[in-house]
Amino acid sequence: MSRRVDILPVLAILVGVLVLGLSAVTLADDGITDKEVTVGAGLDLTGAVANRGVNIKAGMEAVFNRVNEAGGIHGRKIKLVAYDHVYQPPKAVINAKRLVERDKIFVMMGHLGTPTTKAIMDYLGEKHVPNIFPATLASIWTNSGKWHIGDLATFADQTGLIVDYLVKERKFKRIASFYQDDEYGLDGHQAGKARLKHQYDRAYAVEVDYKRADIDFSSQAAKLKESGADAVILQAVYREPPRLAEQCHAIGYHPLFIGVSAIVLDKTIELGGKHVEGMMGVEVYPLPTDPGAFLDLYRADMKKYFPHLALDTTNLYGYQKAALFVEGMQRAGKNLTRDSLLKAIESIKDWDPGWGLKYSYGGDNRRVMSRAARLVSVKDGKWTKASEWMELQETGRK
Amino acid sequence: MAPRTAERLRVSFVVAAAVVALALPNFADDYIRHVAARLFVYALVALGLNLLTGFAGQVSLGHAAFFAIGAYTAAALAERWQWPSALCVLAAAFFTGVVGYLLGLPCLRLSGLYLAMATLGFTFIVQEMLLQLAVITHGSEGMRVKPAAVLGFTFDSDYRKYYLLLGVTVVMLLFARNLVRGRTGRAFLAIRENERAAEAMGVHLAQYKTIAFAISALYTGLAGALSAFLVGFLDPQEFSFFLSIQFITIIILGGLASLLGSLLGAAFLVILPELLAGLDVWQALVYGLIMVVTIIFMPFGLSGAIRRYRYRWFGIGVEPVIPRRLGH
Amino acid sequence: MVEILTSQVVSGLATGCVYALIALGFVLIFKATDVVNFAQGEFVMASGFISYTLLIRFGLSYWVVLLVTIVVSGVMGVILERVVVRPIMDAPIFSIVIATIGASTVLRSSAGIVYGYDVLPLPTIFSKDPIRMGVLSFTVMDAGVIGSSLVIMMALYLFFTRTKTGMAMRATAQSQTAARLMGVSVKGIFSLTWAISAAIGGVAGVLIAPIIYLDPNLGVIGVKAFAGAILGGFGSIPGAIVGGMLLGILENLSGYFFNAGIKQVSTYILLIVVLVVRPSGLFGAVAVKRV
Repeated sequence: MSRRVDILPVLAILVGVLVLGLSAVTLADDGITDKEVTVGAGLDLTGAVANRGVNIKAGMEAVFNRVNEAGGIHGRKIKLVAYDHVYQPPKAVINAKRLVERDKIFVMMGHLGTPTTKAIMDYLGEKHVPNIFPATLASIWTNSGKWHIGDLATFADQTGLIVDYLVKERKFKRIASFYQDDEYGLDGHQAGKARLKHQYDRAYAVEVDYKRADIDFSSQAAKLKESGADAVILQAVYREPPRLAEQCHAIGYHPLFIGVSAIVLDKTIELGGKHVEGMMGVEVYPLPTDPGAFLDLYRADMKKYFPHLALDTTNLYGYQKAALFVEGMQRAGKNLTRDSLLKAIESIKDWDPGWGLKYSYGGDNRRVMSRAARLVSVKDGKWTKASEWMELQETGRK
Repeated sequence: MAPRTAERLRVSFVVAAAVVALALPNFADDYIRHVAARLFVYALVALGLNLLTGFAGQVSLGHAAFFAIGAYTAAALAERWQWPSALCVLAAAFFTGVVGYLLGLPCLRLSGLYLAMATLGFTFIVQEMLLQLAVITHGSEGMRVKPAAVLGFTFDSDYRKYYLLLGVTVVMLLFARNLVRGRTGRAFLAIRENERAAEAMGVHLAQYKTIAFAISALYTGLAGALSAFLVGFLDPQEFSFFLSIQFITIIILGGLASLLGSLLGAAFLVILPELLAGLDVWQALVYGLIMVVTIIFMPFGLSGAIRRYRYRWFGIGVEPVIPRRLGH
Repeated sequence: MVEILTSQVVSGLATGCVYALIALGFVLIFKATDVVNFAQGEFVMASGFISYTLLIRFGLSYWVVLLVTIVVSGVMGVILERVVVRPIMDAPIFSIVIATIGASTVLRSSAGIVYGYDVLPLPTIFSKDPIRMGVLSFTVMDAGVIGSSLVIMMALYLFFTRTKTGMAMRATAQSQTAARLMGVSVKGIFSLTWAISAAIGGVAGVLIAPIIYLDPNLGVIGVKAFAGAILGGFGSIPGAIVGGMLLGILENLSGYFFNAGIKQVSTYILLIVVLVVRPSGLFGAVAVKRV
């Protein structure tokens, strides 16, 4: 009968697959074959900061999709596996185990949130899975050892820049801090406090906190007004500064508001309108609407792969992470291992993807790819640059 | 069906469950082991909450706070005073039980929604205290917890953590079983059905209500302490009122006043999100739909549904009936 | 100092009025049907998105949008009652509560899928410019929110005391059997109650979303409103209004004198103290033994 299958070729194929499979197991790290690299991510897709998770994922996927359509890197396509951790550390641990044990990821990339990433850092270290460019600008990722590497200037460093600018250039005497009462806001808040104390022998005029879900800042506005501060440093996300400015203006108080990179979004202006005019911020990478070859590429990719998403700083944040990762993969070459990838990323020096901002590895005690930042301010309803890129000094929390 | 057959069915079910539970880690990866261990943590909480809410009829939305108190007490004892792990866990459970007893006192006069809201307030207050007592809890920085060790044996792998949690859960399950079958359990049920009648029958209301709070808190504190060692990291944001609502969801979906229900509810809440993990942003939508559909078709929860079909198919037990409350 | 304190009270009162409106929604449903609707906060969120769509995508005028939003929210309330609550009307109250929690998850994630999780600004007719009257200083928005809330509450009062339907609803809340004997359609009243509650939530959404911006997690505000309703005495309409307003003011003052942490828990500390003294809240008559 013609349906009879010849046993020999089948056996040969089986043995071949087995040998290939075994060699893959013995020779390479998990999550990598000649054809594919598996990248894992733990993000918040439906929880409290889901807007960040969804956009960061889209930004990373836009790069990976383009790279894959062009044939991958050294013949390997990039596969992104992402799970929702709802911004909860225990769920982040479960997801990390799933990614490492089940999906056999090669690296963890763009893991969202400071507490969630802290919860998995030891586990990733034990398993020798690199934690590449977690989506948190907390200062902890700059010196947590071999397996952890951050991408951009931390909130602590940014606050150092803000304090220097307010004291030295603007000659302000009274500076206040408005911060989110969690690890996210405290990082910059404490760095600013330390900077004021050690560098200028001063203290904040007043320290005013708020909770992530707060909706009314009139009591904060009243306290800020009473302190008579000339400037208010915002350790906040984009939804609070417009509301705070409104409520300060309502009681006739008009200080200079200046915030870390998390507030530099078009959304801030959309929400605040005339009340955020003159507000300043720190930028650690260009705005989605800026000129530059890399940004043209970004806009084209987003339009192609995620037409329903608006261009925004958060998906650009994910996009630049992925682009940097791809650069590292290119440099690591054909013989890719986790070690060789980390070495390749660490070898990056003065690399400009085409937007005027250069990436350089900061050294073993300063494991970030960029410490550049510039000041921007809202002019006529648009973020406008107020300084050139500069290299930030290290500012600690203590 | 004859009672003997019923008993045989029951025994074979328990044996099968025991075999599966004992063998599972040897056929699974760390991910499955960890998820299963998490399931046991939630099952412990559910057992405790079910004793209070399901059996004694006292609604609590304060169990996220008890969970937090257990977790942080154990972590702090281990970190600051280097207590042996076993002692940390026991002390944490006991301390949480005392807190539960104390919370039970002002709650004596409250019932229903008022009790739910007061205990929810307790959750908010404790969560804020975790931030304010940064000297002990490290505040919003979060707290790392080293693996538990008992007599030189370290529970550092998910394999070991699984068996530890399995053992504790089984012990606590048997304890709860004895409790609800004994005098205390009958007193709880009497209080739930009718406080005045219970009092008339000689049940000391205040005593039993506070005892229910204390035991329930003890279970939850124990679960919290073990969870701290399981996850290895504590963050105050984790212990929000959402967690309290999750806990109450577990026992209602699983079945009120049912120990089996506590286990099933915990399994539902831990496993379902894992099954839906690939759905991306659709995950929460599907999860919510499944929750609504489950409760519509199983108003007495999963254990209620089991009771119903056990009766219909095998003729064992009684069928849970919905009393015609509104008579339309 | 006086000026700052009064402005704190006024802006707290504005937030408190919105709490009160949402609390009213909780209480109405509970009084009529013995159900606690945990999706009440999601009604507020959904109506915010509905009015956003009508205003921005369809460019309708503000008043038309307000009207349509109220109607659509009401319909949403009826649908929720028919689909989720009625099939298990006789089941333990716990199960119904869980069903509404499930429904709230569905509403929240649907909004997230359709609109994304980014916050959106909802336009309003009230400006955020300050007004000064002696020691009082507040924004037009504060005044508008307080005024509109008072109008709604007045309208509800008239509805319940002056119209036949309103009185039938009160009768049903007192005794379903008696109401049925008097020829009142209890099922119809149930649907109507859900419609009215959802519609009030709709108004609250249109009022609050411009202030705190729209996003799928906006429904969390329902927890505070629920606390307000309990503080006032669950089941009491004046209680819900007073409780909600009190919480709004208390929050602002404690935020001013202390910090954000105390501001957040002040609500619950007051609540626990009040409940220990008066176990059924400020205006609650008898302890309602339900669960």
